[in-house]
Amino acid sequence: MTRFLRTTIVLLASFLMILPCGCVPLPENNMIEEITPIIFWSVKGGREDGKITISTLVPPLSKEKKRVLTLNVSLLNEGNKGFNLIYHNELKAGQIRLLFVDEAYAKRGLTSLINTVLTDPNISKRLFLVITKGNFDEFLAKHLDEKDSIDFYLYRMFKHYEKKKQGEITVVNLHQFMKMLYSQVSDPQLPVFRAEGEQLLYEGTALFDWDRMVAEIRGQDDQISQLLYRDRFVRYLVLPDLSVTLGHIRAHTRKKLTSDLSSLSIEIDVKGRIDELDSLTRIEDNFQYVALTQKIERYLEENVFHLLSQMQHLRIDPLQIGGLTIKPFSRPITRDTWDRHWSTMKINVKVRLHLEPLTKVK
Amino acid sequence: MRAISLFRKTSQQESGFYALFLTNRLQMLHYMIVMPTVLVQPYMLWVIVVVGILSQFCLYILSKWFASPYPAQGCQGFEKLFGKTGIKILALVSLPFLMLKISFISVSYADIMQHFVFPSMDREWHIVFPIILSCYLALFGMENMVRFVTIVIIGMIWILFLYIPFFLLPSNSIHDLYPLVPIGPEPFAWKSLLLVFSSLSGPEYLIAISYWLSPQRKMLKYLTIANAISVGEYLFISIASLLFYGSNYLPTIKYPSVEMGRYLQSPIFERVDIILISAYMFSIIYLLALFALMVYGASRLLGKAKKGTSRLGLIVSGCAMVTCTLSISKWFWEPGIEQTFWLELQMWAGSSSYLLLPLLVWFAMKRKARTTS
Amino acid sequence: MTAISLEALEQSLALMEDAEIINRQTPDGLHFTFIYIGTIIDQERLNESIMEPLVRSFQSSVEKSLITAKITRLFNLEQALQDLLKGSVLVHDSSSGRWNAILLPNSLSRSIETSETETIMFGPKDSFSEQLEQNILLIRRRLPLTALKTERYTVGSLTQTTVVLMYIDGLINPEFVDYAKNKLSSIDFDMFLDSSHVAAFIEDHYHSIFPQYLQTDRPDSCAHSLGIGKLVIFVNNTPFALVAPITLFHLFQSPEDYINRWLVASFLRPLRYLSFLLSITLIPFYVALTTHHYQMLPLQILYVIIESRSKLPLSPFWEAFIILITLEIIKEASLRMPTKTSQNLGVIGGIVIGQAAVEAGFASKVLIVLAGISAISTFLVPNYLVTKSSLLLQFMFLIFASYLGIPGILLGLVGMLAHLNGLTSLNQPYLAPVSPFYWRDWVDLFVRGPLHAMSIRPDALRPLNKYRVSRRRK
Repeated sequence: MTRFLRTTIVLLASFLMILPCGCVPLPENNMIEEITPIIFWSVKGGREDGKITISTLVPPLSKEKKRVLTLNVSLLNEGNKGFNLIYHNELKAGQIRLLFVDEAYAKRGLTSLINTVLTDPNISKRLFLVITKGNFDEFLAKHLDEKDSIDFYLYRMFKHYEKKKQGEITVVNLHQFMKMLYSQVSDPQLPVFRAEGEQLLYEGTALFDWDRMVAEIRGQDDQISQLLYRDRFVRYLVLPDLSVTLGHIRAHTRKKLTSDLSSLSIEIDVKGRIDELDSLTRIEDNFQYVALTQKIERYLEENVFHLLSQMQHLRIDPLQIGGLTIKPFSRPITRDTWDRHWSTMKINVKVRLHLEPLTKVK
Repeated sequence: MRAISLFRKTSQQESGFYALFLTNRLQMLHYMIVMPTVLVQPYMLWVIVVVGILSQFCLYILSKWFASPYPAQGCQGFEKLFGKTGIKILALVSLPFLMLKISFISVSYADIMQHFVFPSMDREWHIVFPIILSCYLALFGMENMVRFVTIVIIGMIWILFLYIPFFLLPSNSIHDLYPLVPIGPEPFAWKSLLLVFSSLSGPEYLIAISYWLSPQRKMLKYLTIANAISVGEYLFISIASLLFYGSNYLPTIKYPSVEMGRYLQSPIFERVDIILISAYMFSIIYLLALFALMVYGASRLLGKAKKGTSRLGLIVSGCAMVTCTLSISKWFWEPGIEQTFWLELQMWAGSSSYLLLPLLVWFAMKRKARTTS
Repeated sequence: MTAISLEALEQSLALMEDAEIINRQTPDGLHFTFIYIGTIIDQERLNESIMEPLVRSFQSSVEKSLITAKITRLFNLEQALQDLLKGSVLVHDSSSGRWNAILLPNSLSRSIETSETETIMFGPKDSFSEQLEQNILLIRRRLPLTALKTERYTVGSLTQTTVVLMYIDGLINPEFVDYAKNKLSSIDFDMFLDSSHVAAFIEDHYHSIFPQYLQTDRPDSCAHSLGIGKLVIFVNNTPFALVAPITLFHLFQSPEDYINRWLVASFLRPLRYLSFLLSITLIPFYVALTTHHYQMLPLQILYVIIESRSKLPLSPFWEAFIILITLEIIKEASLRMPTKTSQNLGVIGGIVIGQAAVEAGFASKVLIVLAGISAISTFLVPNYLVTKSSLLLQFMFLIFASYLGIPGILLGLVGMLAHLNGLTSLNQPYLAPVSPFYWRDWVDLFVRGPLHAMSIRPDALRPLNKYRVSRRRK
């Protein structure tokens, strides 16, 4: 019996020793030096034959010359397969971090694309979704230098702004998008970037109706809309119309719906500093200070109102105001009911500024 | 070489803690597998609480058994209660239940493993490895096995802490937990009630190993604590997943608790789910080993119990487990109808054994008390 | 039994160059024959305190002439030879025909020195030496108790090694003593040159790579072990005493733990467990991640690893395997070398080979860093034997990792814990306060609680006297 056991152990040990050399019940080879993990896909639609263009950048090494791989395919994974055929390493999607989708494609609906991404168990739910305008491939083509790893820098930018929920740019990952998409009464949003030559500019936020992009808010409006989310930090709020820049802004927003869903009141408490003033404006005493504050408050209120009525007009709800209708002891309302109420809702906006002036105010 | 005695017992130690840990692990066995199909709506959280109270009732009856003098006598105790044929019938009935539970757990776990960790590997490998290791664990005998539960707890307790960040996400809102009462056209889901009850089942197997638990009167206290902890854990994870996904998105996810692990990132590792699933193996292997010993014990009762235990016998039981599980996995585990069939079968089997076994033992004790007095 | 005769003794001592037989005559005309082995007795003392007084004395018998010496009467040859070999001088009084033995061993020994294997900054610095009596003295000084019992056994047909079993009676669980006595008296082997040889025969699982007896040369930790209800086994001619029963966790405790402030010690002790875990799983994790789970690496780290691995000739498993073996060769070599050479060796091994391997594109920088970390982590574990066995564990995990990735590592971990759970030391569970679960002992397990909180001796040892404080607390 002892000898039998000992033989078994020895056999098992040698068996295990041999296995790393080859005979493994694991057919997939993920050996790190033999694969090329890609970091992003860029998907472009709008071709006449209904196909999509998918491109990516390889290799991920910073010291080597890069190249853009582009294919016209009808399915996303067909592109994946195609890439493997034209590149010497196997491309793996397990490290994919960014998904750039062309505006034209987004306007026709993202569901099929996102379903493909979701079903792949290798792809993380932290995938950042981005809408691009302009020629993204050309932008990539300008960053093929040996020292340049633009894909990584882009990822790090999103990661940076995501971390502390800064409102500098909108950052949405796959999970957040899906949660908003599935939520009964609200709609998702995504950041929009424009590729222009060597540059990729942040343009604003794309608003979605279900999975289709329907509108876009830009520049100053985008900054103001950041204030409407819960507890976001906005580094600069530039108001050129008033020749003022506010800085270090923390907004606290309270939204209240009347029980019959006829009106919505939004109160925004904005704390921050006046970072910059036009040379013509002066705040030397309290009166001037109060006057300026009031002016900014009015201005913000108008803009917020304008923004909201735009959303009402489009019957979309990216701010998740509809979420307020869900109560502990009542049935959640349906999307149709909410849309009906939302589009005709009266909106009151109240902005309260608590600003620190740059200089001492008498 | 010393004589092998798998079912020996040497020390008399206060072991309420083992009962506590064992109950908790047996009840938490299903949380990865079963939970998602149950907790779709926020008001289902109440289901957990209600079923927790129901399970407390079963545990109360169980504690009556522990307080009686029978468990301390081991096999003779059972013989006194049920008679020689009674035991054989019990062992015969328990075998399919055990086999079902073993197969269901290991195939479901292998499924998760295959889905998340090694999508290209055959599922059968994920079944074979844990069972081999659990046989190795079982070879140390029942006494060592019962002790081992503390290590299992230590090996898995940290998993709970991973879910804390989900309560702190800024995108959470309390509205995701509403409505708290079922209001709507959908009928009240009896099935989910049963499912939660079956996932809280498992402590009835403590009857089989009560001899090693050195039963005592205080057992109810430990069982209650264990039950409360399990209910708390289920609630904790369900609330976390509801907050994270919202009640509309949640039903579309197959394994929410694992998917949530995937969302986590640490500075050194991403895809924490791979570690999480692997660590869950502690529980799987441990309980499989426990069940393997039970299978062996039960089949010994059916045959000649007088002969001493042997390693070979246990290994044969292990082989039977592997054969049963592999054949289910190979031929009867098509996604869709067959998988739901097994889930429902396990659900019914688990719930009924959890409800009936303590009652049966309790009635037997009552009858015995009447006949002897 | 053979009667003693000069001829028989001469025959036995034939061809023993150091055996001496000397005849002396007193002025009274008495004849004394001295028989001894010159190398093992103290010749100076023989001359000064035995020969001179005896030869010059006017008494008629040996006993009367040497009133201060301890004299044993001898009756048979076997006993005479045994005493002779232990360092006695045999004195034959021709007038009475009696044979006497006077013990005069050569007390050649090291002085008490600082422990080199378990060095500490603060605290007592003395350590055991090769001489049994001196070692027992060091303990008796620390525990001046009549309850401190010592029992003597002789083992080894060739070495005739004295083994002393020491315990505090009335405190230790008698089960341990009985078990140890049983084991000690059943030993059947010829040579015992170190306490580990004795340990090999009295441990329960000699196939295991985990030591089931703690070997220590520190009297303070021995005294501590005795005081909490363990037993100590001394073996003659070795400075290492065996302490039992132990648990895995005892191997991670250093005497310094009880010298540091308790918060500091509680920080350091988990660090040791962590470093043990690192030393056995860090490189397997690297192999698992690079072979199977590239998805798990954060992007920044992925870049670093891909870049360092992109042109290597070996797969991660073989790379790690070869580097680890090389590292072990260097470690082993520096251990065998004289101190000065070993320094050079460290420089050559560490810098030249490591650097060159990376530059030649033979190993990745990341692996070299990780191998360094895991090699250093092994040194944090106070017990040398565990340090050595962690290497084997590392290879086991390496194989599991390259085969099954992270689930493989966890499988190995479960297997290792199952093995540990089945181990016993002196028939007591090896993972004691955890499995079986004794929650009161946890105050001195992963953390080192304040001494005030340790008023009860470990439950896991089930001592007869539980309380360390005189006032029994309810």
